[in-house]
Amino acid sequence: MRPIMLFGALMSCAVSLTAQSSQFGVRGIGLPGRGLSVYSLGTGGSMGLLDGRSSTNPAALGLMGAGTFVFTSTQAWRNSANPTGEGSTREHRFPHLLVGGPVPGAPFAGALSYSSYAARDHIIASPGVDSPRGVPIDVVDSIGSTGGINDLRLAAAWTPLEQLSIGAGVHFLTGSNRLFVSRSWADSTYLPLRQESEVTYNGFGVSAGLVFSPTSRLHLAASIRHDGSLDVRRDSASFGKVDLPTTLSAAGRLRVANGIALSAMISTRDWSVADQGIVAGGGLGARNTMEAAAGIELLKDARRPEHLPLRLGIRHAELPFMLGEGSQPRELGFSLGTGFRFARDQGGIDLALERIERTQGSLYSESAWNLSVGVSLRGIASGF
Amino acid sequence: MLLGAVLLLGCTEQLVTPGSCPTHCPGGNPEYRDTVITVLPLSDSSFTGYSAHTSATSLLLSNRADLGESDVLIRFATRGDSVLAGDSLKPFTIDSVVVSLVLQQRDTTVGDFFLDVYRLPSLFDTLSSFEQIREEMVPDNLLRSLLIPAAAREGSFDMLFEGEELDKFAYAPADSTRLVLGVRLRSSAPTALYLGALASGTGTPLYRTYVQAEIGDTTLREQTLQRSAVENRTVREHELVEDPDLLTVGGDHSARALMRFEFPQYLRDSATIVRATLELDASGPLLGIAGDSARLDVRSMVADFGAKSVVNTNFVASDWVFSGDQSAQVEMTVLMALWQNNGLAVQGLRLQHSIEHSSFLTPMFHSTRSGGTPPRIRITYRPLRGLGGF
Repeated sequence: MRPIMLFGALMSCAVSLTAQSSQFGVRGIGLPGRGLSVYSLGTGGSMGLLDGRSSTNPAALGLMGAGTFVFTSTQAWRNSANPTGEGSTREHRFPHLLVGGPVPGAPFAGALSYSSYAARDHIIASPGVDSPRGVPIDVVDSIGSTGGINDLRLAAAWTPLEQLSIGAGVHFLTGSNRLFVSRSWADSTYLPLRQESEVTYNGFGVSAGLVFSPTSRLHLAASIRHDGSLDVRRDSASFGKVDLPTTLSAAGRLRVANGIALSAMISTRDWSVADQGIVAGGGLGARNTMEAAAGIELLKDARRPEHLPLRLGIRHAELPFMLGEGSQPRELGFSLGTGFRFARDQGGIDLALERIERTQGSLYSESAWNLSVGVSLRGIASGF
Repeated sequence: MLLGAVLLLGCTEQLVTPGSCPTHCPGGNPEYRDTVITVLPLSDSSFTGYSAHTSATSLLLSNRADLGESDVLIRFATRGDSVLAGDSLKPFTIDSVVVSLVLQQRDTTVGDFFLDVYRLPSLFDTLSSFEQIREEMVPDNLLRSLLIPAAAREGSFDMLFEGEELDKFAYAPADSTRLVLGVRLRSSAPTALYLGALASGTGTPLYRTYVQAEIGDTTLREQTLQRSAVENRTVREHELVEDPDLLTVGGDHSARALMRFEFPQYLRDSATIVRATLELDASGPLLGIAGDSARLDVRSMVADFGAKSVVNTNFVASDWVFSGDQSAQVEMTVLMALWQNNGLAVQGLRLQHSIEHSSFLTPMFHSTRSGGTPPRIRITYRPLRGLGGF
């Protein structure tokens, strides 16, 4: 009961429950979220499709051994650079929550999760000069957004065979961006200006996946997710629709030795289907993305696989929404993770530290340290 | 505890990154436009008589041809010929008399000058003409020629009268012990200045009589009878005649200008006004003493009843004009907000001098009838931006 209450309380603070923001989330619908638990973040996301605590593959729920509540907290320190200058920012987010587990006595499992689909939190300060009456005046423009699109997933998995789990889920995409633009003038005869707007989103998606374990050492997973159209409203008036991509993902995990597991993941999203809607809404467009990640997990104690393991990961991904014309933005991340269990393994804390470099050409770059802490209650059965 | 930590930490962030448009600006570059709305034809006029000369905070003295000759008349309260001691009036003998005038502002480009202070007949009042006053300004009536040195910029100047000079303050029964003074400016070069008036507070002219009362109690014998002015005014040789084709503001008859505009619909609900300026062109350079300034106040009409139109006194836009200016600008963005937010608002302005009857500066602006550039409002605004785009 307690996890459910906590889950509800966190849902009520939905404004701040979004993923890390970035200058690369200014355009389009924002910076895509990942829907990963801290466990998976530690391996660069390469184990996400095989992790029931993540929300990327409903079939992975079949690997959960007990009812579990998970929430993730991420603190980010980021330095952004662009032709205007550099700026350091920090933020705290709760990008992922999940409650779920197996149905006792039946080959089924279910979960309700809440994660970030896209984050659009930023304040951009832009100094400049304007001459509305022919006289140059120093100005500072600020443009900002808070909020994002949230992914509320209801998923179930069926495990007809010990080696096979099949899952499906429905995704409710909701959220809003509270946008503002303001200008202050060095000449006080001009009034400072602030304009606000709220953009709300509604969408629906489905996902399906499977996990196949041909041997006790090898686990394979695949998932497909299709999100329909995102209904966009600005200040309660229709602002159009944005088609959302289909995501195809595959992953594998191989236990190469006792206590050592390698994992890899690849995923693609046809974000170009959103291009028309994004351009119609004033954006620069959307491009297809490819994401790949690999990781390794080194266990300290094979009998307690989630107690003080060492997780390492590397990830490379393209970002769908460009800041300007030119090459597509991309990000490269390195991650380091661990965790420990307590209270007879009923409780657990996972930690992941990520170093992320995002670039678009030579003009726009960003480096960030993300420290994520995941708290899980009731533990989870491991594949080991 | 966990829940508390979550709620506390979950709502804090610091997100400021440098950026530039259009890269970081969904919706495009900020766009600001400028437009000018001109006063409606034949809907701009000046009206006079809004305030009385008694509201003057300054008295104008001038011997400059361009400003016109002007003197000052000061009528003090009656002094009386006895003092009250207990329950009876007691006569007194005068020790001395001090008359104080306050110099508020002068033309610093002119050196020493004199204020010739004359005693005028007690029947002289604010209806007395310039010529009548000048006729009484003869040597016999001269009380004092007060030297104002070049170094004196402002302040109170006391004139002490003792001994035989006290005869000049003798009263006939018809005078009712009322002292009336006329002040005239005398200088080697034409100049002008401001003296403090009754409504100026600390600048009020004063007339003090130091007396020895015939009272047994020696502690009550020495008394001071101080009287302030009850009437004062500037008396001009030629009062201003307002040109009906110009918009006169201030002057001898406290003129105010009313102007009506048509606020464009496209600004009403689709724009954010960041600056609005009332621009006025004068028919000539503003005349005043060197360094002179005056504030122009603009208020929006609430109801248009012509000269008696009611204005909104809660919001006023003000700006300064200076001697020599040929135009005036008044920032009035706050007033435009009244028009923008209320479709039923009367779109008219009233322009007035902030210190009527108290300034040489009398702007006369072009109107729609004068052939010059009529009043207009320059509005800088931002069209409703597509905030919320991608």
